[in-house]
Amino acid sequence: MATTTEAANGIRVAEEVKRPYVLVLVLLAVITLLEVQVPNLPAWIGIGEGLVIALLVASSVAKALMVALYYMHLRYEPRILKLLPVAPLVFVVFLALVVVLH
Amino acid sequence: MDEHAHGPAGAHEGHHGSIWPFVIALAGAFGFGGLAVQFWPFILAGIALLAVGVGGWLWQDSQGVSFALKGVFHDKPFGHAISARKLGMWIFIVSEIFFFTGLISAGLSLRVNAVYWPTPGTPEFPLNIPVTAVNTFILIASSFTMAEAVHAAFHDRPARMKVFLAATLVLGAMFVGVQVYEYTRLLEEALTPWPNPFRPELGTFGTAFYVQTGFHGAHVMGGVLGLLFLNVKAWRGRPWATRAETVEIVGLYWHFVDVVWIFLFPLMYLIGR
Repeated sequence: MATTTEAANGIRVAEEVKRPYVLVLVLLAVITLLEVQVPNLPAWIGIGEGLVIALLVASSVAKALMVALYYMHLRYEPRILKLLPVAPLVFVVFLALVVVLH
Repeated sequence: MDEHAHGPAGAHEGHHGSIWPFVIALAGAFGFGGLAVQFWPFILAGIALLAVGVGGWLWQDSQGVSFALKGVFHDKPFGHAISARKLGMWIFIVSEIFFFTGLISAGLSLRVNAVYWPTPGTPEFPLNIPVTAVNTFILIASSFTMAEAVHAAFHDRPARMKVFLAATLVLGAMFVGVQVYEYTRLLEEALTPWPNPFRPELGTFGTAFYVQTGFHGAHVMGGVLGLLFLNVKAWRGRPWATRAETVEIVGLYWHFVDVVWIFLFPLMYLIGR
């Protein structure tokens, strides 16, 4: 549940009553621990390199989203600020396509 | 602009323009441009401009005239509750996303065109995954302490804020320290930023590795210096240094550097070709 807090210095800020910082920290650490095992998966269970890349890209995106939404407070920001960092991601997709198609 | 509306915290603090950020940016243009074309006069000019820029900034700060961080602004771009400074940091972060996207894409281009690329999990892989995994935990933990520092600042708990801010500085410095240690080991094991006669096959990988992790490391280093400055000011009781908006803006940059590492770590250490 998000509420708006009037901080003592006069700046209004949207903050969660129970901030999930510790939970995010634990999730980031656990995902990283799992990520480090991923390069061994082809030897252990015989998955292909493509699946290794897909798993690591997915885990990285999940971790980056957690940092951006909770630690950088994007979740509580006005929509225009939420959209701002999305703009250059169009460029990311374009460059990723160029590399993949290459 | 109502700079003195918030009692003692706002007193005697005003906003002043400053030439020094521009000089430091110019130093970057000359220094990195010189490195790119291997032109020593430009590199030396960049180093000199950096010294002048940082020196001028610290001198101006010692005169009690600082740029950007003092005073409270009530400008609300787009009619929303975003301060002009916070929006400024976000726009800077967007420009940094463009920069790192280009850098990582250049690395991927090198990778797909390289004759040889080492595979993680094999004996010939030169990087130390366990050590860097621990370093990744350190950077993630520093993001957590930074978020707690911002939270404490917003809830007017300066003592708690200062402890978490100091913890962030220590963790950030540890990350840089471990990276310097790893670089030293890798250089000894003949992983160099350019091809070498001992392990010539690693030339392209070495270039991609040092350029990407090096630029990230330089960003962490900049963040550590910023945190050091903010810590000193906060512990010396400067009101602007414990103000929520100041800590939040420094925190935004710090978290961004963490996000870049979240992508760089699997790219360089865990994914083969």
